[in-house]
Amino acid sequence: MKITAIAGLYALTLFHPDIALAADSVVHSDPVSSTHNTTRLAQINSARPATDVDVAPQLVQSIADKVKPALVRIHVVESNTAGGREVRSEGFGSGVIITPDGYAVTNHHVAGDATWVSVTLSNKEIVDAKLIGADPLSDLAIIKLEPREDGQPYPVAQWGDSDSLRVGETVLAMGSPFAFSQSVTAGIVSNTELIMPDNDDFTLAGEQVGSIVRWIGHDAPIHPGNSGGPLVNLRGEIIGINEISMGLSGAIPGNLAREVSTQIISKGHVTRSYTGLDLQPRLRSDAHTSGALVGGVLPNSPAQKAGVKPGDLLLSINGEALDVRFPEQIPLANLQMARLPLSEATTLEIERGGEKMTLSMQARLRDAVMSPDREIKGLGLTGMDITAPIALEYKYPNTDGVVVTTVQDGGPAGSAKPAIEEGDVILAVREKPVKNLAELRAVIGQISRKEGGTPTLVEVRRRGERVLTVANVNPESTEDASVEVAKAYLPISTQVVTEELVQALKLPTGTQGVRITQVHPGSAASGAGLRVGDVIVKLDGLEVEASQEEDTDIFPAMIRQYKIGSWAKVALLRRENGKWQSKQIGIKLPQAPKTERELASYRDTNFGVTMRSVTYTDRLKQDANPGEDGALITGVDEGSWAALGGLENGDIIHRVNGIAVNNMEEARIQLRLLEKQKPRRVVFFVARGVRTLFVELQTDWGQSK
Amino acid sequence: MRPYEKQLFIMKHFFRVLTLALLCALSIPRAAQADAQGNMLRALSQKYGSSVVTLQLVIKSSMGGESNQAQLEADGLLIDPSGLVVTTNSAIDPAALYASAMGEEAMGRIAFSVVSAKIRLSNGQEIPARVVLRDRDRNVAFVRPLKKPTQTLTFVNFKGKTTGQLGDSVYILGRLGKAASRVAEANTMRIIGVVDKPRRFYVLEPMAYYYTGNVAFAENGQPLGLITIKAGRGSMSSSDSILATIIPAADVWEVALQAPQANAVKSSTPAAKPAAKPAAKPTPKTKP
Repeated sequence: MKITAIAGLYALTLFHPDIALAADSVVHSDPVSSTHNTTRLAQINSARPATDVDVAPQLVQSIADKVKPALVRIHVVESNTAGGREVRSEGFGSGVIITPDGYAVTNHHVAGDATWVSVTLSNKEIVDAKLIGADPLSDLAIIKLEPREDGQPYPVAQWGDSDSLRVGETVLAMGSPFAFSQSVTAGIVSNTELIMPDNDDFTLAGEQVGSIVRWIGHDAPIHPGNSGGPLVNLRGEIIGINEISMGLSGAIPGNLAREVSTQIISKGHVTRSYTGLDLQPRLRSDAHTSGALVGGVLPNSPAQKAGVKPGDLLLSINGEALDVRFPEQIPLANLQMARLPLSEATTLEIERGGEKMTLSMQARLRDAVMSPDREIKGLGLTGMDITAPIALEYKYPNTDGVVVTTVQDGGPAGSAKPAIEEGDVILAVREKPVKNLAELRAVIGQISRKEGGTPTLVEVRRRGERVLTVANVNPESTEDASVEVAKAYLPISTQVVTEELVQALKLPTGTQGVRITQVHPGSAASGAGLRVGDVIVKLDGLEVEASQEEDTDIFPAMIRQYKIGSWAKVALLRRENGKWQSKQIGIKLPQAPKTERELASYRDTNFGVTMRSVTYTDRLKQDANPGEDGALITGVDEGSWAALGGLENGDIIHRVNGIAVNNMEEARIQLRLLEKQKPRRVVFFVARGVRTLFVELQTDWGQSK
Repeated sequence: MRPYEKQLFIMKHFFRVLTLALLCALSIPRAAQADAQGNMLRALSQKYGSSVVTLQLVIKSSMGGESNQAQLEADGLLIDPSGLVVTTNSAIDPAALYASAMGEEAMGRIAFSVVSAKIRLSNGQEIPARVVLRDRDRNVAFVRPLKKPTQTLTFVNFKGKTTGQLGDSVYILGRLGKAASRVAEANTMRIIGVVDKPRRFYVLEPMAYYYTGNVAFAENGQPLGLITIKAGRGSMSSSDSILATIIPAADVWEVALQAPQANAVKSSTPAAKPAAKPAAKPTPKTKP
């Protein structure tokens, strides 16, 4: 019975590691001390609510049942910039619904750049959603689910009080790791004031997340995909939003998440104050017992205007004493300053050179550090507006211009003379100033499109210099339509007859040539009577001098000397009745099939898919089944509707919304017809290898561009 | 000096003098030979240097739905007065060389296409152009100006049937890069092999791969052919899997005859047709 009790205690440790400590003392105790340890276990248990200990597995189940309905698995398509273009990519994360009308909180790095959002509820229901607002400084974002068709409210999770968390408290991490359906892991709070190690910044959209966030460190395992999911206590209340994993897991405190969520829901963004103060912990040599060291005062900031100087000891803000002795206290001080009122002056008490003084500071609205960067089509680059913080950081004279963030190699900017580079600030086009992205896009849009582009004067600021360049803007896109030299070919596949094969096949000694490995069905070769296994030794009397693997190209090259449509006489050896017999076969040589590049293709921009007709070669290479026709998909754009719906390269489209398509052109006609009708969803019937399936795609028909 | 001392002097130094004389005599042909090569290089460079051009290309690589593009430059050679330029196919289609070594299947569905092309003449003028023809077998490709240039262009006539043999020196004309202000360059290499099957090509010293896309002249100063690279079937990592070769001029010209005009090269991809718009309804006439 003792062994059974011990085993039971260890099982519980999966959910309540504290018990493991007590179990160890029971296992290793002697008969005398076991009584003492049993008493101690009872004392430990009595200090906790009965639910923590007695019904841990059932408690986890009940918490999961309570919170799960509010959990969402989030699927996004987001837009990023790279190589001078906006590129789309898919991502997955987690979130939790916090209002009955469908507002859900998640991380900024999950949905903050989303152009399309879809969520899956715990009952497997899929609901579209949209991004309401995001706050990179706290790495939080709010999405809103579309109203339910039955009008019912969404289940919600309740907020708890993250300030009351204590180390050792049991917590559960809920979410969708690896985009799996919702899951739960358990652990304890390891640290309630987790900060980043020295020199290890976590930056998001130019914001240092650790400047105001002290994470709740815990050891409930979280994995990619858990981001944005709730960390809940044993009452099923949200006390954190899971965000990072660095050995320990880290969650944004629930109280901060609640504050940010409320602001984004009500006005779409977060309002914070800006002071221009850089605070540090007091130096170790500093004997003061309170206050925060002013490490820096940014130029033209409210703090500078108020007269604060580096080296001052900031003692209180609006009468509230400040104590920053350790790095863990900095985020709280920063939060305090971020919450200062904008409409009234703030009183600062400082100590300078041993003397105390009071200063009055008028905080102002904090700007976002970075604005979104966007593609400037026609110029082959991406750029962003200059914010006040960026101008300050990079010592720009003002916020006029557009900062170049990425450049397309070979595009108009990349091939300008001199080339426009990342980090350049575009100041003028055709000698007219451009103050921001909108103006730059407008002026580029007015320049005519032509082959090769229109030479356009552009002025940029580069490390303090004003440089002029000429870019060929708005080049007409051209397709590479170069053709391959037309060659004759023999519709067979061959292998070289090596000396080893000569011996193994008992061919006449000294035989050189090629063995037929495949005869293309329905071709001139099959019509002429060539067979797999035949050994071709001569071509119009010329010996096929192939005897080593390196000679693979000799026979095809001999064929390519012929003109298309000419006759060639093939001398071969064929095994009949166990003996090799000589034969001669004449064959008319057709034109070699087109290469992949030469084949006509069609790219549908609504779904982001490229296709061409199935060809004879596809069937030969078994990329298509014998006799199969249809439109073969050769490209699926990442983040496109086709990718989201699950279409894949190599799929062969047979039907579009029930209409049969036998080739690319027929598929193109159907898709163009659907573009007029604009149905919400389109169903493709495709072949994937030997299997077939229905793929349902949705598209907004270009509205989100 | 007494007579016998004079004889002794001559005898003592005779062999030294004889050795010196022999050395001088032997070095005269080498110097003359080196001088002859230099003379030929200078003469060819003067006559044909401006026929060596730089192709400025923007190449797009596509795989599945992802694509990237990059700028690159390749050497080319003017071979007719209309501005037709020959270069290597591997310069504009990196996949082709790999596929010929490793097989088409090894490349998967990655495809390279030329987004834009310019011919940069020796005087710096850039002429918009288009790739019009490729021959993977011979590893050559042809680029033609979009509009026929008005100026007279120096070109190398590839219609001849000059041949070479093992051990011959060839004279190579090329063009250095930006770091050397793109001046003409000239060098000599030796033919280290002659392959006749299935068709003739010459194998050059390994370092000649640097001159891919450049013209090689035979010892008689006549065009021998175009320097390309050839990949043998098998691993690309083996030392003899990539060879610097010369495709005979006549072979290049035979293919060049098929090169269409730049504006005759049309995409086989159907152009998007504008959506049909309903005709406007007639406005009903108002009754007086």
